[in-house]
Amino acid sequence: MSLTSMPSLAERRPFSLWHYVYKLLRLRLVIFWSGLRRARTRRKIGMAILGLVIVGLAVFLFWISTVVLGLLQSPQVLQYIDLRQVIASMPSTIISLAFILFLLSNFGVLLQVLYLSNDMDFLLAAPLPIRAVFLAKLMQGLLPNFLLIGLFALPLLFGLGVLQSYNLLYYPLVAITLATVSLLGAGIASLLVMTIVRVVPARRIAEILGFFGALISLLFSQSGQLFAHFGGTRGELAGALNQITQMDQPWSPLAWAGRGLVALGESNLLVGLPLLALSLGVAGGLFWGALSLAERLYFTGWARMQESPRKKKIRSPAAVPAGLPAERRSFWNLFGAIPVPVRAIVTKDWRLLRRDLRNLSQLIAPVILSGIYAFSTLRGLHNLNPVPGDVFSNVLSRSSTFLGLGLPMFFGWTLILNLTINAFSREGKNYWILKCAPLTSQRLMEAKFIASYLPSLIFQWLLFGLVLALGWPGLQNALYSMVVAAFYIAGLVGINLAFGAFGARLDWEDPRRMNRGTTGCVGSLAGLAYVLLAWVLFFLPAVVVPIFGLPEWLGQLLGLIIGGAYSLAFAVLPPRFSLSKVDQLGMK
Amino acid sequence: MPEPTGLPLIRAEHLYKKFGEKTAVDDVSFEVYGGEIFGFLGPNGAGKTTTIKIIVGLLQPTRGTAVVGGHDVLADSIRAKAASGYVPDEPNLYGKLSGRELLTFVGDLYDLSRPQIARRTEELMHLFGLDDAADELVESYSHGMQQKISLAAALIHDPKVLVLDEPTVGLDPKSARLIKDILRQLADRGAAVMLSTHIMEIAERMCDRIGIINQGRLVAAGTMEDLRSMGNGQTDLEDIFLQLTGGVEDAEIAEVLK
Repeated sequence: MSLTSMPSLAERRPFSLWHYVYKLLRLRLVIFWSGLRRARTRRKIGMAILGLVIVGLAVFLFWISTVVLGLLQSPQVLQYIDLRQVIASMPSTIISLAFILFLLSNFGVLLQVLYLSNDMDFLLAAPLPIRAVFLAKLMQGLLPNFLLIGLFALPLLFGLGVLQSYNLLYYPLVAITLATVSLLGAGIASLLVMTIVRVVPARRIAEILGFFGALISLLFSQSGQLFAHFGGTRGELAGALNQITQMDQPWSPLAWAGRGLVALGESNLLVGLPLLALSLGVAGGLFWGALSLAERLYFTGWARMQESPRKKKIRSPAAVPAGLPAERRSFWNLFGAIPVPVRAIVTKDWRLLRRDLRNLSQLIAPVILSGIYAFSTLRGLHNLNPVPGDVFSNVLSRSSTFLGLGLPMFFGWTLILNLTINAFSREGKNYWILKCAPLTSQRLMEAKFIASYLPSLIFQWLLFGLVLALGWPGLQNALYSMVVAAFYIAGLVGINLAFGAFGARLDWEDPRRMNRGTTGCVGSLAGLAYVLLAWVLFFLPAVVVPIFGLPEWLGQLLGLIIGGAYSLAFAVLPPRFSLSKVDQLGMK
Repeated sequence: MPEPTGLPLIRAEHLYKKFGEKTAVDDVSFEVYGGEIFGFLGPNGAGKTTTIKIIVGLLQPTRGTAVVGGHDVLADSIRAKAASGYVPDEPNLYGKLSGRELLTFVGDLYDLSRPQIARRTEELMHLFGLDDAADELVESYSHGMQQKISLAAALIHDPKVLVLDEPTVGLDPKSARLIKDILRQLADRGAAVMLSTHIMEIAERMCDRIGIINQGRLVAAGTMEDLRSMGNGQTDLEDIFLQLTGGVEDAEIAEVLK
């Protein structure tokens, strides 16, 4: 057998840049199509449904924007709040906002596709112009964001066009403008990525971005809650909305585009065309300039990635100044009965939780949510003063006290869920280390239990502390709630660990895909049901027993016995039932 | 080289592993004795890693038994694992721990005392030339350093059985030589060492006995002399390997491309 010889590629006439860009983009399409073809039927159906939902959402947004914009311009609404200025500046505002969103979202996406994708070595070693690789990667990162932002921006702008009876030229130009703005956002984002990567390692930036991304999206999602909390009169609302028009500035090329579109829509070609042409020209020029500069920085930046990142020294136990032996200085001396391997796993888990920002970004959302909702709900609760001798008012008073103490249980539940349900999945591909160690599944479960239980308990106590700060329910009630937390969290951790073991995924690359969705969903529902019943069992006796003339402490004791037994059962039984699953984890 | 001790420290008995319809390991049986290095050779996808993972308890065989240090890997897994150390082909390690923290963690998993761990950590770090990097995060280590820290972690409890999957991949010649020397020392002290490799030179020079696996079946096992006698006049391990695994055609292609 012999192989035919090939002509030297070096002598071949080079193809154009776009030929290579096309080939690289086609490769992505082939990979996508191949993945889809081989996917399970369930996934294919899911994707088809998702596609229909997206189209439906676009149609709905278009419809709702025409309705809402029409309503906002109706005389009935105008006498309440005048938003005509806001509506008039909508195109400029939406285009400016879209640019900001493109810039922010593309930063993370471009960092991923330009520096952290696995195919870069292969592509840079192939006889491809670096510019083609860069452009293809840029398009690859840009397209999903463009579709996502376009999904919201286009129906809004089209809705405005229909409502204002703009001429037909307006619609294609809106799409072209949005595409140009997205390119500008991507160009500047790529330049920012190239610059920052020269200072901070790309992986670290990705971790930091994940953390702040979670934080910012959460604050945005809670902005309504915060607005309701810190004010929100009609005048302030109108003022806040009018602030949005500040984006429509005469010096901004993005505003020129918006104004140009409106003028063209109103068939005022003499004003519209120059404004839009100027705006698109500036955006295109800036994009090309940013692109050329970024492209130059790309190769050198990539080359720097191959060098060892800056080393960070960690203070290890052995590096602690000598004096006492390490064992005697250890925090774990308090828990001498805990076996050494269990302690080791707990210490390791806590270290990794603290050091890996990707883990923290998963926990930050529930922490802030719990804080905001606990504060806003508890501030609305007031202890009712009981009327002496009136049974009903006494019951009501005690109920409100225990309602105040019980609510943090629900707020803490989300954090505990995130912390515990991924306890096994968080090991990821490193799980082999535990699997090869002489460690029973019982020991491993104990370690995961402690690693989840102690931080959850501290967090729950902090939430109780918030209740105490907002309205002192008395020392006895405060102590009671602390003890209740110690019991009921044990049960909640037990349930979540069991579901976490059954739904564990160890082959994840993206931490957001740690757990199997179905198990996570069922686990969270089971946890919620458990918390509801725990609340009733712990607090109901404390409310009801005094009705029969018995002391309140007796009711609390009864609550502790019933609720404690219930909690301990869930702390022990679900983890025990899932031990066989833990045995099988990591074994195919 | 000391004579292998009488008892086998690794015993694979009729191992059989199926993944769906595909049979990855098909009735594989062999023994590795204390004091010897057993090389496990085979083409890509022959079943080397699957067999190794069964032996260290990372995979459950469909049928058959693996015994390590006299303990059944499934029925008495804790004792079997306590007796063994494993170095995977791809060093997936906790990147956010420092090298020292990683070794301390693994030492704790084996329930060693703190002074023992501290002493072994220092020794191993020094042996592998990782003293300066001991307090740096593992994620900042090069591939070779990660291989070395992975081997150090496998050696922290001084195992009687050491199983390595492609241990020299990605290592520079100096590090590869160091690992070879360490494995020889371990075997000389009575440990059983089993390693899979693609590199014939390593197998030929280092291993006391060699097993050749092809399409899930162990097609030959024995000393170099034994293999030569099976090789129809071939004396070179590469030629014997190609003959036993049906890779002669591939060798012809390679010849054409020269």
